[in-house]
Amino acid sequence: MYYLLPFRFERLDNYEILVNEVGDYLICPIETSNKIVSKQINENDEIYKDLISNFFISKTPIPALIDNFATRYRTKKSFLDNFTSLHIFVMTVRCNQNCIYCQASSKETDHIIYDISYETLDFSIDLMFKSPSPFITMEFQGGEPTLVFDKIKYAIEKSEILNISKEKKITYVLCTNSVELNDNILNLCKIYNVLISTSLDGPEFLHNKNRGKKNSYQKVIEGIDNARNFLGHDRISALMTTSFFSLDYPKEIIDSYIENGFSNIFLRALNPYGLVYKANDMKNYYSRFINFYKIALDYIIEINNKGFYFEESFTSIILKKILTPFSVGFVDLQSPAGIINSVVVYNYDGFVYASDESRMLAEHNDYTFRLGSVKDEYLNLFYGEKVIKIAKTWSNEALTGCSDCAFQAYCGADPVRNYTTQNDFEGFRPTSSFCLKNKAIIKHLFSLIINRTDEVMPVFKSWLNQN
Amino acid sequence: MISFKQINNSIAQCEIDSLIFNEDVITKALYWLTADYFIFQKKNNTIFEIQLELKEGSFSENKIDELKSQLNQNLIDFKTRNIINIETKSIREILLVKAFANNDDFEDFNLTLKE
Repeated sequence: MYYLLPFRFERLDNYEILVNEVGDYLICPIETSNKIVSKQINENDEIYKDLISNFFISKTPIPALIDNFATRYRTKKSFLDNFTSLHIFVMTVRCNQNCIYCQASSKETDHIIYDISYETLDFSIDLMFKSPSPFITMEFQGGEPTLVFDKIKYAIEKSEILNISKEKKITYVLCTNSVELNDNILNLCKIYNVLISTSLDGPEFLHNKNRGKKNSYQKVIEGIDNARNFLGHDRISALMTTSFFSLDYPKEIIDSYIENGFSNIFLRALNPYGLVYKANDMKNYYSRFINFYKIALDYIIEINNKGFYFEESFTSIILKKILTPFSVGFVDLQSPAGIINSVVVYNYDGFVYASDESRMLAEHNDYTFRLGSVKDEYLNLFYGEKVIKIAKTWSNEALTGCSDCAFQAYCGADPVRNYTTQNDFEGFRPTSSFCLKNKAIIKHLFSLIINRTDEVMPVFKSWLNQN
Repeated sequence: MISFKQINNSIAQCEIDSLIFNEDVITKALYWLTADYFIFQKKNNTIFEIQLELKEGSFSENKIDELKSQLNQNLIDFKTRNIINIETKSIREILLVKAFANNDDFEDFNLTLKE
């Protein structure tokens, strides 16, 4: 006799994957769930002890170790403990590049009306310090934020002064295309330990095509080299965006990252915001992206097995959720969602938005996720009516199609994306590109774990040990 | 599922007894088909009569077999999930309360029963 504990299951490659409430999994023969539920598992069965020890079933109505189980659940959700920690400052939407997939609806470089004002900066910084989180990341974005270098300098220096009394641990991040990284910028980065996050889409022909410029690649590589020489190799990281054009070049993109001295890559799909969403067929894109991801990951695993450490960061995030008991602070894949709970955006227009994507919607005159003015009270912004409305759909535990999904613990909720793509905060999973992409990737990782264990697990574990 | 048949090249019809698969289970099983099908249903006593109409294209032999198989599997799996959800509702609530209760609020409230 035993009692059921909450778990979910999914069929994959002639197996059943059982996942409990804290994300622990068991790979079992087909029909195991049915046997468990119909109480056909006996104490002598090999699987019985696994089910007991992993909190899938219990000998008593309430398991003796429920406090441990609850602690593990709390640990998985510990990204909620400190509330908003990532504070994005959109310094300008002016830009000096012309990316074909631009998600920020950037403007020409001489349109200074698109710059943040000092007044907005002051109010925004005050709001940032009202966050209860003792750990703050202040991230400067654009457009191209280095076009308003003086305002970045002002914001950092003001934050440093205010922090003398607030005593928070602040990490500064500058998101730049690295095209104009001059000594002034690098000096500021050195003084305040500013991390540089740049964009590199792959080899020269691909990067330049994506950027809509002939010499962008050369300038970015020069910028990366300068930053490394000035700040140290590990102070600059790069992100790629997989344009439609990129989909045909998974191996070339990885080779280019390795050639340029990076030990990781984040295979990032296009988001359905900005220019791209109007121009292309996103449904077809995501099916192709999944194929691109699988080819790229296979290639990366092969490289690692030849003795060269190179990590795919999105995979690492998912693997950390699957293979470790720890919480993962990745705002795009959280439940409750990363918006507001973990990230907030202070925009150049003087308003606070729920996320980076929310302010991108505003560029198309859609202010659904505008929380209010930077001049509003903190409580009205972060606990106001708009947030309460959003909160009703920000937990995948309570979303149709997600609530029964075996991969719920590894995935997240994204009301902004649901709204953008499906005109509905809750979203509709059968046609959701978010669901399609994440479920396909999680299933693929399980498939690798099941079918190519000896080949992939040492690589996956080496990535987890590194982080 | 009591019956499943193809009506024409874009419509299939099935009957499901709600005494075997309750309405929640049927709805969840059908939910995942709604990307590809318009779904019409009516109830006669305990029997749900369901029509599935392809949104695009027409049935091939493979596609109709695939639909039949997927619907069957969905019904069985969501019935299992439904049993888990019902039987574990209370323990899940206790787990969440304990997980998010402030510090030791529940320390003295020993919920664990002897075997």
